[in-house]
Amino acid sequence: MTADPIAELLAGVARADRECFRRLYSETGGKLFGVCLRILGNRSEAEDALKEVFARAWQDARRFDASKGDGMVWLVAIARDHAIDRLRARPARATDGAAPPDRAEVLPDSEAPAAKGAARRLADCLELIDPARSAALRSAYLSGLSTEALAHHHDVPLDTMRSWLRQGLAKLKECMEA
Amino acid sequence: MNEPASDMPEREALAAEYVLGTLALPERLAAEALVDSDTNFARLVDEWRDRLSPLNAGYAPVTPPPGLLEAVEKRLFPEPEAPHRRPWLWGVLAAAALAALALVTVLPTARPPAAIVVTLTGENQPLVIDARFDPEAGELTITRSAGPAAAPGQDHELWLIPEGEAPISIGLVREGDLTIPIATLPAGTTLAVTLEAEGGAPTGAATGTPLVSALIGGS
Repeated sequence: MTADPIAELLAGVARADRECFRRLYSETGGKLFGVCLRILGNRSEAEDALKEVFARAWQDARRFDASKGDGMVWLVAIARDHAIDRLRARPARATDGAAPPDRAEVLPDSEAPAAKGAARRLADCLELIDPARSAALRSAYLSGLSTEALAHHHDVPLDTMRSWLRQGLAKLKECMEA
Repeated sequence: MNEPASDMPEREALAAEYVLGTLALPERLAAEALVDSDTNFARLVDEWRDRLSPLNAGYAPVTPPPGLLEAVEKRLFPEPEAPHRRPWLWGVLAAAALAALALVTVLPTARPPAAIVVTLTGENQPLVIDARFDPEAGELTITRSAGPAAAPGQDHELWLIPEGEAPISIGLVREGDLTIPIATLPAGTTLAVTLEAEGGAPTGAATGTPLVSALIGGS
């Protein structure tokens, strides 16, 4: 791994350095709030989720291994996991209140130059998949919607959506490893 | 099932769908449990997190509301205010704590292991109580070093408040030294003295507000 400023801040947090924690928040809070807001579609719940995300980051920072991954990817995973857990824990019909999947979700150039190669490759691989399916994959990832909710939003049967997602994932892996 | 389900083994498909975020709650919980119990599954999840991570660029940053970091810090680092949730002490310590706790000192006087010496003080409070914990002997010694004794019919009651827990009565501070056998006095514990009816609070829970207190700091 080349220089990863977020990983360096996480190393500080793992040493219980509160100044590093504040800097981590100022560097990543906006992005992680964007994650929570996108998935939960509700500002006050997203705020609660973000508090939990940073509490976990403080507690779990020592489990982050910079030799195995990117600091921002690790943090976004915490935010997505927690926000999706909250979304799933809502009463059944409440999934309708979540942000609808955006069919025109674009894949902008990544902010981290080091990630550009991987982003380009993922984007290329997504293009090889049927457009409706790759749109479903993107919106699934970003919105955190369940297969059932996605089937509803895309107006296809549940089994169809499930096989779109699974085949899409399998093709993506094959393409990215090629 | 007209179409083939997947080119991936079931385990890997589960890892991929978990990272994608599409699993229903029961499957999601099962996957989370597997991450903790099965290192191979955890590795598959990590691989999928990396593989799909370029999609993170699709999350637009949104500035969080002001004060959110402070709320997190308050939750994570409660020590400077009050290490427990009892309302009667919380309010008092929150108000008077900084002045009082600023006077707390932790002096290693012997080693190893070091004794802990703290002074219990309160704002505008003539009462001053010294506490000395000797870990080797397992004894906490309490001495009123300044201020008046409790009036007739009343007692100064000493409370030990483990971090995040309810106060525990550990004795009455009268004339002379009070020696209490305790095994440890961890950092984050608060010692406080309240004014109670003679013989101590009848229910075992403090009824008065703390006159003086001290927070045990790190060594």
